[in-house]
Amino acid sequence: MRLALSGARGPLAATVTVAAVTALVATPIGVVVARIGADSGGLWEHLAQTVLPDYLRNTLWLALGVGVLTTGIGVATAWLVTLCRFPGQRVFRWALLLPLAIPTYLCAYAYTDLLQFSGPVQSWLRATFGWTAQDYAFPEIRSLGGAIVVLSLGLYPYVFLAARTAFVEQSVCVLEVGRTLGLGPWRSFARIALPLARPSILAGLSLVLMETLAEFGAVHYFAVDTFATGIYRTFTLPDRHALTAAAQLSACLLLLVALLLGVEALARRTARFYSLSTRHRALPSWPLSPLRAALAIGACSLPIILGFVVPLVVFALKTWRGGDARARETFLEIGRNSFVLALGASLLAVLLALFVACGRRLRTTPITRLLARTAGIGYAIPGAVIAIGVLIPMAWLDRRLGDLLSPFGVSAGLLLSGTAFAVVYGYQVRFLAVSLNLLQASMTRIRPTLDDAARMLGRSPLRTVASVHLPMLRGSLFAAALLVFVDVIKELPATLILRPFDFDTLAVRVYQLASDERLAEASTGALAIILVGLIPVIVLSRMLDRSRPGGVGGSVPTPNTDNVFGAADGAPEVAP
Amino acid sequence: MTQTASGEHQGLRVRGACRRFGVFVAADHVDLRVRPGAVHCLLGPSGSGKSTLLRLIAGLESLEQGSITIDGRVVADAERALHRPPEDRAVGFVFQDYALFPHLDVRHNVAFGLRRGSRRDRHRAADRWLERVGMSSHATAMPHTLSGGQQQRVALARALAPEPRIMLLDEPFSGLDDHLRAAVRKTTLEILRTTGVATLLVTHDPREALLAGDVVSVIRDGHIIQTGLPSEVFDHSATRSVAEVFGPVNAVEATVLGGHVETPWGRFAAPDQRDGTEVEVHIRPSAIELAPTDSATSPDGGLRGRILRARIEGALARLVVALDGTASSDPSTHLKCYDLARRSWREGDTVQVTIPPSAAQVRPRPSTRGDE
Repeated sequence: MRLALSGARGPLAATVTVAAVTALVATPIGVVVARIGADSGGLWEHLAQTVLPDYLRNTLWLALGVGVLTTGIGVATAWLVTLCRFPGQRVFRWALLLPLAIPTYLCAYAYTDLLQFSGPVQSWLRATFGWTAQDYAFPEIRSLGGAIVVLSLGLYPYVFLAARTAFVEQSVCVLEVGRTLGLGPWRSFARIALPLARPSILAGLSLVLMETLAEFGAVHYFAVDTFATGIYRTFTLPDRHALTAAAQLSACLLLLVALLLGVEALARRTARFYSLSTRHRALPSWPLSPLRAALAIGACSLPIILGFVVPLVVFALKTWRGGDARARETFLEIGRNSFVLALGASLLAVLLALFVACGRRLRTTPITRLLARTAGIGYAIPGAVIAIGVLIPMAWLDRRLGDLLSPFGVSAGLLLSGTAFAVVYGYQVRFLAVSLNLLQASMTRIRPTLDDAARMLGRSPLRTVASVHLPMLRGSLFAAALLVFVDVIKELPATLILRPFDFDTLAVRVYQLASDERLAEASTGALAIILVGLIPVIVLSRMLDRSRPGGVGGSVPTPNTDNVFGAADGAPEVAP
Repeated sequence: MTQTASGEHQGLRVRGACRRFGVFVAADHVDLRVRPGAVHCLLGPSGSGKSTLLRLIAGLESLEQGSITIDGRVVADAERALHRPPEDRAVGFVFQDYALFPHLDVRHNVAFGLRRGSRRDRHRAADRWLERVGMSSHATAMPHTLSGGQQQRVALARALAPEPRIMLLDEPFSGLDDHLRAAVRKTTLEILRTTGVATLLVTHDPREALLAGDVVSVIRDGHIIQTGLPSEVFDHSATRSVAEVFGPVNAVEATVLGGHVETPWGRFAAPDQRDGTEVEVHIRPSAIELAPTDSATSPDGGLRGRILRARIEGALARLVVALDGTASSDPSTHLKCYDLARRSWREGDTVQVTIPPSAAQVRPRPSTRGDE
């Protein structure tokens, strides 16, 4: 059947390629789900009776608290910097993204150091007022409340970004109609801008909640037991059913994630319909009176100071005063580990994403669309869950390989699990969505007639990819690799579970030192992670600036990403 | 149309092409033939399936029924499940948005389809084509720096450079300003005719189709209603819907009696219709002649009327005339006419109206035979 193999819908091989990558990513998730009914030797029942209610309660309270707080901070600041005029507003537009550079576990370490009983704040209070421990009440940072605040400070930029994009893309006409109908700035915000932006905000919020469910480092440090920490703890139990029970806990967590994904999909669909007009002009901005401007500046600075400046200063000071100096060689070695691992994982993630994006492009059918979407599911799955899902098939493969090799007197040992292969595989599952979203967004900006033109001029589908798509995607390929690279540097739970024995990365090292109350030594690594984490924030803020319809082109992070036919509109998709 | 012996196997031949998208019928048993050196215009409103037909011929969509032959070689045949990929059809395509590769300069765009010869040969060939379209001075420019007309010329050179057997043009002038369009169209058609390629040009603009086409096909709902010389299609439209593609039509219903029909606008011959046949009489506004009532050249059988409305539309004036003896309050008897604007008709003027016998077309009513 020539029609089916090389028909107008593109080569069948394209579907096969997309399906292969998707299967690779979906396997660990399927494995976890498949373990629901497995025998755990009573361990699951024990967990269900003892800790499960705690996990559930803590996880839900955490999600609720973080959800409310991030929505408040994110929407308010986005509205202020987008539609009001006050000094410093342009700076706040990108500065409000800065907390994204700080992984929440680092924020947790910094505030614990600052606010604990022996920390500088309480010491200063005692010294200044001559109090003793009994004289005053101070909120305990290592608590559920503390976790909510710390997570919110790190995650609100997702809501900020979604809300700001929505406000920027709103047609000016709609807002002006509101004003001609007699609504003041504040009422037109409440009655027009906010309802119009609601689907986008909801999408941003669901990202926040996914991160919250996935959160490991901070809640673990604060000893707030959630599903994610429970999975890790169960995994480390000295029980031969530990892996199975961890998988079953993971499946419970996946249920919550699935719920969120549903909400997000619904929100995104509505957001599309809410995009009313393509006419854009310079956004109106309402000048604020001096008093109001001062309040606005305060409202915008506070999240940046608390979520970025304070942790940065804490780690910078500690590094300055000593840091990891005693272990300089260890630091360099671990830094190299992180770099090599992240480089390999990011290159692979870009390559796989390219396969999926091009395959989908060459053969656009409902099947390839669905497959491509499934390939990006990993980002919603908590790292701990992915780690368990990777570990189970790896261990199974190891046993098979062992059986196969033992007759020859060769001891296979752990060939796959506990090697760099397992970690890199885990990263692909988790972060393929990052590179895939970016590449697909860029791919949609390449008009389909260009593909047709290349075919008409004698290029086969594969040669079309090589001569048209690849050159036009060059900048996006680099940006995608960069984003995955940074995500890998910051990743903690999956690395912790999957890393080879005695193989530390920066994030793992910092986690271990912090757990041992050796924060001074951890500060160097923490600072390095923060500085690396700043890179995508800069890229992101520039993309957002460019994405404004009718706005000035602005500086472009990498050449070739944008072309005559459309400015970047992929900013929100890059958000994860 | 007569077919010359040399044209038998050359050019483009489409037989019984069908293609649906869900319930939407984009191509419905389309038959088409384009001879080398001819420009064949495919005229239809948006959504009539004209672009789909181009994509079927190009191989960008696959046929469900029928076959397509290019220069005697079958490139698609649904019955044999044969579908040659687009790159294997020797077809040139000019896209509506030109589809210039934004990452390549003009010369590399034109050379993109050239695969044989050394790099230098290919670039020299590209430069030759750029010269033919008058874009030599822009060889190193990037596409986004070009104007619409310049982009169109580069797109044309790029499509022609590999010397395709047939050329497909999808609304190639619709992105251009009015004043630019005529000039670009003229040069484009000149180049196409000198290359001797068989050209199929899609447009929704009836004037463009009549001006540009050696042959015009009117397509609607995926089906070709009429194919013919521009004058045939315009003067002897096969159906009312074809006639209305080219502008408003005066239409009135009547019954044949003794080989004639009586209408409010006069008596017309209906030689091919039996008595009692329900017919529709169509009169093209441009075929009606108007003269001042005091005119000495008052022809026989002339009618008198009064101008109800006069609107100037460029060189022509669009008039509505109520004939004497008809109720001026009944709009269905009003005659729509065109006349030269410089004759400055005014509303209320009385005029001498002449309808040449050839201007009226008598067709069976759709209700009795069904509109094709």
